[in-house]
Amino acid sequence: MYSLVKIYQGNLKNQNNEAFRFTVKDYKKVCGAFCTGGTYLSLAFDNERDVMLRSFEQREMMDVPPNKRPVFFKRNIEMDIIKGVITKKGTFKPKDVFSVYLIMQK
Amino acid sequence: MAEKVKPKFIIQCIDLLITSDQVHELRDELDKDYSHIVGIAISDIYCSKLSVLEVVKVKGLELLPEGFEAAHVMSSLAVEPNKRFFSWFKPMPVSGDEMVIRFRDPEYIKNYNLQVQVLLTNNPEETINVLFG
Repeated sequence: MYSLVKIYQGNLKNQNNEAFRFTVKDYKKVCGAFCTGGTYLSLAFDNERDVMLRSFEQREMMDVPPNKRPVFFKRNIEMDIIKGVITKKGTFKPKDVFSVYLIMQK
Repeated sequence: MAEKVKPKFIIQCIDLLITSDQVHELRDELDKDYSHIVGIAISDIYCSKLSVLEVVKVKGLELLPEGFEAAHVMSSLAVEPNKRFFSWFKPMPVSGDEMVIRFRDPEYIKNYNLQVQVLLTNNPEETINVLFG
C-alpha cells in the first residue's frame, strides 16, 4: 500500500524556479513522484549523490489516467535528504501554486 | 429467493453547486456497506485546472495532503471511466463516516455543479489491482 507525501509547495513568486529539500522519515521506499503540470522537476537523493530526475517535464496530462501520470522508480530510502528544483514552464499567474509529491511505501 | 449480491465496489458521488471563487464545503456520509476508500475523481468540464482540494478528510484524517491540486484527480473524456480515479494514497478504512471536502476554484467564471466521485470497496487490494492494471 502506498502513501502520498507532499515534499514542496510554493508559488515561486517572482522567480522562475525554486530549490527545496526534504528529509524522509518513517518510509523505506519511494516508488514515484509527480508535481504540478507545466513544470520541470529535478530530484536528487542521498544528499545529491544520486540524481533521479533531471529537468523531468511534467505535462498537464488530462488524457492520461491519473494513476499513470507520476514518473515511477523504486528506491530504498532511510532518513534520506531529498533535494530538488522545480521550474515553471512558460508564464504563470502570481496566485499559481506549485507542489511536488512522492509516492512512498513503509 | 436468491440473495441480492452486493457489488464489489461502488462509486459514491458527492455534489455541490459552485457559486463563487471562495471555499465551498462538501459533506456526505459514506456508504456504510463498504470498508475502504481507494480512489477519488472529479469529472467536471467547468472546474478549472487551478482548482484546489483544500481539505479532503474522513474522521478528521487526511485522505489527500492539504492544498492538493484538483488537476491530479481530473481527467478528460478520453480516459476510460474506470481509469479516472486517483489512487496513490493509503486506502482509508471507513464505516459510514462523514467525508469532508473543502474545494476552491480560483478561476471560477460561472456557476457549475461539482461532482466528486469516491470509489469505495470491501476488497482494497483487488480493486486497486484493477485500477492500476
